[in-house]
Amino acid sequence: MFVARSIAADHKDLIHDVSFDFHGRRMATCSSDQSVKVWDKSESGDWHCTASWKTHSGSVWRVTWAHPEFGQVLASCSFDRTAAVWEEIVGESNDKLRGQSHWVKRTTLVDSRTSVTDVKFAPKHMGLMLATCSADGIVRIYEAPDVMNLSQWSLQHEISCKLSCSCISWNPSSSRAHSPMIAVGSDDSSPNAMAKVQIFEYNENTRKYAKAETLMTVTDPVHDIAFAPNLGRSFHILAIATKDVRIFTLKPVRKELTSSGGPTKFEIHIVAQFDNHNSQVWRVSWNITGTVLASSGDDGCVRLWKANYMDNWKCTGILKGNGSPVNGNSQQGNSNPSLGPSIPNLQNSLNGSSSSRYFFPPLDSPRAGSRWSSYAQLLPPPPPLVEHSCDADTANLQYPHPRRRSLSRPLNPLPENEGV
Amino acid sequence: MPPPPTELPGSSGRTGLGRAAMEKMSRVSTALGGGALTGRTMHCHLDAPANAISVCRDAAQVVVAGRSIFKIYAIEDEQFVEKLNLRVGRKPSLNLSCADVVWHQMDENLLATAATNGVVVTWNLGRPSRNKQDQLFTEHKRTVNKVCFHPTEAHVLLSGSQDGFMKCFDLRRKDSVSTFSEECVQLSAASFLCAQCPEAPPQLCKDQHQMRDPGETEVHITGSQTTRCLASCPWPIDHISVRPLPTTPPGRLRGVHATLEASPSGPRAGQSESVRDVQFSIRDYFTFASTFENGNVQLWDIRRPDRCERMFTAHNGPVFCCDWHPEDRGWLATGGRDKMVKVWDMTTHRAKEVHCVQTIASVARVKWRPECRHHLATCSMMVDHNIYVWDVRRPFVPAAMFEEHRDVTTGIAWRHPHDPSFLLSGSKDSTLCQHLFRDASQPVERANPEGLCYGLFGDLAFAAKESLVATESGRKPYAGDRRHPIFFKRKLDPSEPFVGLASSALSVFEIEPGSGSMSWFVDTAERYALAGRPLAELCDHNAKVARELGRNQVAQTWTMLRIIYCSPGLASATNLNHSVGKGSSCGLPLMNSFNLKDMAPGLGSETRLDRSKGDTRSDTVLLDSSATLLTNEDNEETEGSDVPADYLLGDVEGEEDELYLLEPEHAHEQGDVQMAVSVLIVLGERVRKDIDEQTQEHWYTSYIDLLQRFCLWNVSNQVVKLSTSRAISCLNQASTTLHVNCSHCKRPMSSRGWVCDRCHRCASMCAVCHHVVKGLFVWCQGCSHGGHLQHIMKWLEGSSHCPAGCGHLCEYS
Repeated sequence: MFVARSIAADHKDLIHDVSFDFHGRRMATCSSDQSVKVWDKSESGDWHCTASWKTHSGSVWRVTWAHPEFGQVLASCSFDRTAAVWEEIVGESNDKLRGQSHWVKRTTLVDSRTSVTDVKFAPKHMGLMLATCSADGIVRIYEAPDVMNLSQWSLQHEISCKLSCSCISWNPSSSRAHSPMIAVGSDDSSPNAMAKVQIFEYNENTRKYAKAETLMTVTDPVHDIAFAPNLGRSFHILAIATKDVRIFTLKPVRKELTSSGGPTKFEIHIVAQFDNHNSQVWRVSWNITGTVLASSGDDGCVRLWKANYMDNWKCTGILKGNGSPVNGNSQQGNSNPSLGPSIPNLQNSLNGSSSSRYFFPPLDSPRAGSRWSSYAQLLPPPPPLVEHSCDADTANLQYPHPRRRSLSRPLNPLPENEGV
Repeated sequence: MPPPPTELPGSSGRTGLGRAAMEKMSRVSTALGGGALTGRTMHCHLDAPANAISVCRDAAQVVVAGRSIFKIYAIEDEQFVEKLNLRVGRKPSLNLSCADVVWHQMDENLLATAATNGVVVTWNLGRPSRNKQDQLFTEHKRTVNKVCFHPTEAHVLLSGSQDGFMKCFDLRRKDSVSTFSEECVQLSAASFLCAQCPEAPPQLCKDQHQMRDPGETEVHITGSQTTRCLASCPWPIDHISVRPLPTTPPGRLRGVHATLEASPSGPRAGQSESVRDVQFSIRDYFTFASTFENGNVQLWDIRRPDRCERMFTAHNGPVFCCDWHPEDRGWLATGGRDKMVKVWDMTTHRAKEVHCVQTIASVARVKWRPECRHHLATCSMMVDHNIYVWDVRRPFVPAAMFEEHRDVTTGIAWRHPHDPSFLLSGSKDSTLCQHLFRDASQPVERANPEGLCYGLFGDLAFAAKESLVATESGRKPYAGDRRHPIFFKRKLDPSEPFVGLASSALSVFEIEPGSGSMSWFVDTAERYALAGRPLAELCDHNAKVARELGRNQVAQTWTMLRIIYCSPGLASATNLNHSVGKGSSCGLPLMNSFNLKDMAPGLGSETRLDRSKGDTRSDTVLLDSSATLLTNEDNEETEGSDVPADYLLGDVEGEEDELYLLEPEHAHEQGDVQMAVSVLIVLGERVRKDIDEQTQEHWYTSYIDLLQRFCLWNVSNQVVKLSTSRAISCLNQASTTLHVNCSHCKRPMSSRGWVCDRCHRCASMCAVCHHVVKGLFVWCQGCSHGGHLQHIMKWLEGSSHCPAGCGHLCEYS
């Protein structure tokens, strides 16, 4: 059960990104209003804005924290074609603004000629490195050779992706067996552009990043991409936000089988694909152990996905965006008494073949929220738009389709593939 | 490629009928004629870079001017067609090097250009000869930056030049009618007389107003409430610089208000600021605005060349352009090098900034979009080649963006004053473009409306566009491409409430304690015992810890490990596979034989094979065989409590990467690297050799990273210490320096030995036996005396005073 704590962000335009720091006690938000805000968690659990400053002269798309070993460091990227690195200065000029910390710009990375759409620090074991990607399709990797000097960044690599890039993700694995790897997603919407996710791997011999894989099945614009925290796994899990949520696993094929020196070959499987958002999916984010994936879409909901022991991914929760109580009228399915008892059936129907199955968490009756916090509702997910005809089990879903409500159909097996 | 031309709502009548349809002296302020504008996004190559463009009133022709180009193009449906080259003559003069061009909005035959050599030329297309040049005004001394026709008066032309002068020409006369300049402000309008001492000689003045070097051009005075600037503003002068005028009679101080302070002093003193733009007001017959390089904007009455009506500082740095709103009488948009576009309400007493748009580069041109009250188009003069259309109410994100040009865009013009969809542009890349608004890329549409981040403890931060989370049903279903053609978008209706302004709701979903937060991880990490006791005890302890935290599967694993490794009979049986079926209320798992139904046949032998090949192979095999095994050490669980939990203990050697745990009731599990590392440490040598060094290292680094995230520094250090991997155990030996001071002279010990550099005595002498301590040295932090651990312990049994005799009551922790 989640408690929604709404925060008066006071950004003057859309917030495009939120990011927790390494220890989960600080949060940074960035917005089209060209500013970044830093929020600190108090003892009581409230979030207080401790810094807010204008970072760019355009929309700030992304903000990300560096590992605290390098100090309190943020990187931001913007429509104004730059990325910037910021450091918090402690003990200076605090008297000017009470309780406001002071962030100074350490560097501006101006190599891009177009909007810089994402910025990510590399995993700590690689040193102080930063990757940016831009709308002109170039991924740039910078390194601060001296970690004490944040104002000096040298451009190490420029990787051309040929497609307008929208998001990048470093492979977080700290294993020596895994070369540095970066996945790039594209939101290029031109019809002829094909695969939207490319994976580049660092080659020790050539000292360059080379394309290791292209996910040919992802052809719709990709808005976010995230490797799961690795935690000692020998393979990688990659989540992709496109018109649906997709989860891929990438298993490195043993080195002996590949020609030495070439890029690692991967065995790629799609392990889940969910269109429950019924719309564009904008963000995906993994929990700390890489076992739960959160996704958010145009439906304004956050959905949580989790695999069971069968490697069968399913929805374990839905959070309404603003934590507001759910309107009873439009969610009549909630109050349907048949839903509760149907849960065991659903569980039994889970098996490994289909990606569009889901799981209903037990429903709690909506509790009235206080002014500042209310219980986020765990909504039953609506049925997927496309029901696979092979899914005989889904016919057991005793769940009224919202659009079929008017038909007052008895709760017996739904006919397959009705015009949904 | 672009879709077929569409009818534009609200437009009727056919333009492009040619000049015959022109009606003299009538403004093209009514709607389009008999038909809609048609066309597509297109471009044509010019011979040379363009500096400026201007559209004919019939919206069917455009003139392009540059240093070496001056041509008229007809805008046809599919292409631009060159109609006329105005650069004639064998030796083009500098007069043809155009900085600006303007087409008269009433007379289709009349054009004016501003030449870089300071000449203003008018052109009459009606002339029968090849040379259409009409009049030549050579009054400016430097480049003319801007020419502007009066919107309703056929013969009035205004020019603004780098030399600081604006000149108004009557095309029926050979020279300018009047000259406006900032200089004029000082000469005529600034008949400022020091109000406190109108007749007093300078000496007296000096007393009351701190005068600094009256002989110089700059005089600093301290004003008072009664000292007012007569130039344009009603505010008292206070601590400003006033320039005395050369003609000032002794004893009189003349000057103007502080806004002139930014005027250059020194060699250029007295010279006016360069004029960057002049624009006649569309609504006020006599008014025009001018912008200057020093950031000022002036408002003039064309009949009053002696002084400007109003002056204010609009930008920090040069103001490159301005544009009057076509409908809103008082609105003036200005753009400057400071990357801002500001919209001023000029109807109020003092120019009020009503909107401010922040662009990403200096603003070279600004043009209000027809029929869209809040839209304006901008382009930049450096760095940025794009043209942006902004909604001034959403000042941070451009509403539309045209990205066709490959070099700086120098001129933009809306094709027709009542058509919002056609924009023309000229560029330094020698192209002329027509942009259709519906083909523009829309950063707003592409911008990500949501932010989502998983926190450390399982909490989620979520920021979403308010409109997304406010409505119950969410937005439209996915329809392929988000960039719909224009006719699916909202119609451009000024009365419609503004929907573009967006804000986000930010919330943090905090996980409730106990319901799957990561607290189990912290508790487990802190309470596990990893070393220092016999294996059986460690396993029992850890099993107990896990059970107390409700993690029964983990507890069972520990119990199993104990059984396997601490029972001598089983410990030798190294290649058995165990599958433990357990009842729903099992206390201890039962050892059953391997369940072949669930697992691939021959897994037992496979496993042995795996061991030699490394665990990657074993993963593959296990995954292929049963799809049960996700990861090396992923602690899998299921919510299906009825499912009989098959408990596979991979092999007896305890490769914990093959321990697969089903957790019947508890959600929110993890890739359990904690288990893997703990088992690795506890079992020590028993398993270490079976797991590839690299994998071990990977587990350690992952676990340590996780511990550090939760600030479990002690546990992390313990793990580092207990690890046998060399790469790991050196982790806590880096970047740690121990500074030692001499116990006698209290100075830092600089040399590496035991002898202090300064007092030449051994620093670490045992206070009991008076020998140098090599090895464990324990000392009291209060008096810094100490010695061999054994000696001190012995000493303290008898006395609590310092053995050195300093009288300190020593405390050892």
